[in-house]
Amino acid sequence: MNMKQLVQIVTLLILMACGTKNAFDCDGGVAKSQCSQRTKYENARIALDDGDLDTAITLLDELITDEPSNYERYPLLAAAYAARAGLDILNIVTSNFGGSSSMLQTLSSVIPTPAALGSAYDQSLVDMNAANEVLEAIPAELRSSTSSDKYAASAVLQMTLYQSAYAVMYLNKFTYSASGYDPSRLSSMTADDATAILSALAAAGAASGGAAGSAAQEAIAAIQAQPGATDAEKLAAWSQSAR
Amino acid sequence: MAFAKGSAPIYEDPFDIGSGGASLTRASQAGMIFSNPALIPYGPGFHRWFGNESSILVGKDSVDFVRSLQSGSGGGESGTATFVDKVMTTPLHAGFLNNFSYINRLFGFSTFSRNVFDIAAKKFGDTGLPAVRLRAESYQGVAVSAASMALTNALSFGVTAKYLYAGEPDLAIELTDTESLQALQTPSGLRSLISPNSGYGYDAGLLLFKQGRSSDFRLALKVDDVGGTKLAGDGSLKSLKQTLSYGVAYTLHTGTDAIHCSLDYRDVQGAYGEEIFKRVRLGTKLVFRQHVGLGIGYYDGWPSYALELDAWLIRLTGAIYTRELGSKPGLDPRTIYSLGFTMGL
Repeated sequence: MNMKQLVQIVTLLILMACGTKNAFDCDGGVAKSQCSQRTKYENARIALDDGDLDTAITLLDELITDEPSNYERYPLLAAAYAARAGLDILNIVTSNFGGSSSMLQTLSSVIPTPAALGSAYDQSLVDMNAANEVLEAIPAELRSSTSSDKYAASAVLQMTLYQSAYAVMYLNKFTYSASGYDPSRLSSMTADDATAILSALAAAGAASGGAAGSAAQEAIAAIQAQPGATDAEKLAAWSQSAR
Repeated sequence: MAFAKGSAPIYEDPFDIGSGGASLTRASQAGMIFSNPALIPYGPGFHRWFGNESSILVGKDSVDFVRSLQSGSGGGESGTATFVDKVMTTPLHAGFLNNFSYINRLFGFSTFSRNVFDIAAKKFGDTGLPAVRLRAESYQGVAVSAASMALTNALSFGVTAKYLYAGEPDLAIELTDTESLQALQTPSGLRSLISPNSGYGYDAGLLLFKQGRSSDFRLALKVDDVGGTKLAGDGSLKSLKQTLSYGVAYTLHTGTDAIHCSLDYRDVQGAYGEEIFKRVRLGTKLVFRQHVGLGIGYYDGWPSYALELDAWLIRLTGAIYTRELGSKPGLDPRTIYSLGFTMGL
């Protein structure tokens, strides 16, 4: 072996190892090699971990459409919608719902506000509602905090948190403007809006008996105790007193 | 279970791993018993190796995370949120390996340990809520090998008997699952997680060696855990499966320099059900003046690199490679830095 051969071989080998892709990845590996194709579910998990929520939602939605009875995927899709709505699941699961702060105060500190999101807030509300709809699509008898199926217990907890968050986000639509807290907008709340907010709180309270569920039930009782002839007036009064 | 020995040897030298891990046909002295006992007879002199090898490995993500903390990039008003986000997206991966062994032309023995752990938190676990996954590999024990040559040194046959303490704990806990978290904090809960099993096992290897003036050809066959290695105890790892592996290598050499190109196809029968990228090892070792080694290759399908400095009594090795902890390329990769210190004759 002479020096020229040596240099050629070394150069070839170094070039061979210069890539950053896996040689057996079907997407970017060595051409025509036997490769390992990731499943749609695996790609959805990667997208979710990477924060590519649009892709995660698209893929999980397709998977659920293909196999609607595979309920393990529903909580993942709900989580993706909630994350796209701006809800930081880490912040919310570590929130102290049983503390001295009201549920409104606790949630307001961790959910996106109209002041922060601006015109994107309505889409955020749509996504949050979509998260709840995905969880509600799991048959009620399969949602149980005591179930041995982990997805079932997770769905219950997620439903409590997401319904509570949706209710407060919906209410904040009438208490925030682009410049910040603005209770003067409460007068524009309709009876349908109030019904939607109270329904979400009721769903949160009914989902589980945990701290967040109890906080939702206490909030409903407090709202009903407020002065006012309509639900909208009671909600307006509660939102100002609880803040 | 992706973070597990699978078709890989129980113990591997960092330089061998960084060189692609194709060690059936050529392995560093400290890893020879575990790579292929049929390698033992080849080499100069009767006494081949007596010494100790220690190596540490740490995940690149962990190193980058510590560096970012030192540089203060996680500070500022959103510092806490950034820190939590980083913790939830940065896997902690580290390990320590040690091997004390003696090898001569006829037999060898080794006491070894390999302990690696991986802690990975995810913002979205399997059910959409934050979760932590704790995984570890723990193997230690004693191995004794014997080998013999035949056909005017063109063929060698080696066997290894080993006694192992082995465990591969794997636990996923959601942060909202307070029951599991509390159970893990009790001594019995922790013990049940890390408790190793033990048992005897055997490996056998063949090496066909055709030596020329400036090139060598090697063909290897190895059976790991002949008949399956049964492990007894409270741990979840109850057996190591029998695997059949082939290796082929071509070496160009002068008296002092060599280029060794090798390819391993491990677990050809698919006993562990691993994808092809886990079973094919490919790489090249370049040895200059018998003291400096450079290795490049593909380990778990990812590019890998290694450097070796051999100063008679002391040998230093470094490797950068990526290990795929998932079942498919790109699912759960860990880029790993490994440093080894070997002292021996």
